[in-house]
Amino acid sequence: MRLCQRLPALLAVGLCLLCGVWYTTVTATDHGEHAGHEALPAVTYSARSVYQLESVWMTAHEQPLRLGHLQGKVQVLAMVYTTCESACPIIVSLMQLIAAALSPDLRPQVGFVLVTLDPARDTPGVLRAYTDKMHLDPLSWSLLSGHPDDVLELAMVLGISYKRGQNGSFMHSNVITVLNRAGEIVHRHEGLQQDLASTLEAIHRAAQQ
Amino acid sequence: MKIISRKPQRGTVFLAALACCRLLLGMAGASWAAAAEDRALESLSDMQYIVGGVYTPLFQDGGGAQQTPVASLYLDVYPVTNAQYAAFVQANPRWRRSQVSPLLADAAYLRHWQADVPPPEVATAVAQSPVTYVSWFAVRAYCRWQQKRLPSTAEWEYVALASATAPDGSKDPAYQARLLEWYALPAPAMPPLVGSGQKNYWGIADLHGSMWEWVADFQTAFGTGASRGDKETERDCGSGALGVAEQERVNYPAFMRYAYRSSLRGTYTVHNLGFRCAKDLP
Repeated sequence: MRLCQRLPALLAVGLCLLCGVWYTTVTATDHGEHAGHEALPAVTYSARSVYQLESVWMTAHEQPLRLGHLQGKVQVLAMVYTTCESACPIIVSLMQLIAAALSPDLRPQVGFVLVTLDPARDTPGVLRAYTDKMHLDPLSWSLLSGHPDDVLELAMVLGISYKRGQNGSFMHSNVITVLNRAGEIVHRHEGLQQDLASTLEAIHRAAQQ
Repeated sequence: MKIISRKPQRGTVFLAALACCRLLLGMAGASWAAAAEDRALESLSDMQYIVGGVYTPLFQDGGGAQQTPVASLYLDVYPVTNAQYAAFVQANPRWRRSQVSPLLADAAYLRHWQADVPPPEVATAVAQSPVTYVSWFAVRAYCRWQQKRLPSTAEWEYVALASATAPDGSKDPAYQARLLEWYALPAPAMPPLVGSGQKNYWGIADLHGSMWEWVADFQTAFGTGASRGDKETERDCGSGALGVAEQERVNYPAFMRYAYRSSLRGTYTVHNLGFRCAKDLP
């Protein structure tokens, strides 16, 4: 008799517990889904990997690319723009010097990446023309353009400052970054000096990992 | 026991159910989330419409005053609070204290919370204070989650130029004197509750006096005009001051903000550095 009287109350409490759990779960899921930008990547990268960035880029051959696709090789990366007349050609030539200094067995293990600071003008077509103009081997060089927001985010991660000036030129830091196979920053070549010894050493070390 | 032995009243069961749900939600830390969800719904009403205009940057980019047009926008009336930020962290576990990537926030990230979910007494104490100890990457993700964005330096400075009565407070000596007083005060350990300052001409509160705020392009604060060299090697105070626009020489607070921004990095988290979000017109 007593149990019968208690039953409705117990049921109500039980139902309510279930509701509470359901509500909490639904709330959490809803947030996750609405916040598309924050979805967890399918592949997990190390805590210090640049490849955690979820931005999607466009190659010179108009293929979409996530930075995680660069995983596996040591990558030598710089942020430049094609109409830049002073610093950028020097950065690219420094990277070419690096490429030339690699031993034949090391060469296929190292990739070179140029990310444009000026995605509005550096379309994939422009980047393709730049590849030819600078004689960049498309097998080892990737030229990427992306959303301005993503360009800024990557620059911040790499510690690169830039600012659009008058007449479409950019002020920017000159940095060549070496990423290990996992996408972690292992070396930064700052400035335009020609001494590449420590950069080459970092690439060798990263390739042996 | 007495209640159970009696025939249960419908009202009692309902109340018990309600209390039970509240308890559960509280345990899951979802009460903050629920509160912030309400806020998200009325997010536009928490923003003010700013009529666009022109901003004159503090530093000139090689000769002649360079005017930067600012398009009309919406801006958060208040900085984002700890309670609002907690809802974001709860919905996006990668931004928890324990899980955030060292690439995206330094070790002091959300230090004042003491844990992933702050203990109740801490949560209550800081709920309505602007959230600080947050990195640029983190606040950018927050604004995106709200379908907003960080304001640019030009937007922030344009809105911050206003006094309580005019869109341009720079010609008002009394207002400038008050600004200087605010900036001269040492920063409190925790920024005051949101809304404790006066709203300006645009209806935006707490821009001055309580703390610094992140902007989307804080990193564009280069020291010199034509520096194509590496930023690290070109931080030169003297050459920086020479570039200050003539009409801005009086705006010392703006110079302080400029200097402060140029000292930041995207991963930095600081006790008196918070943020608010902006939104473009639909």
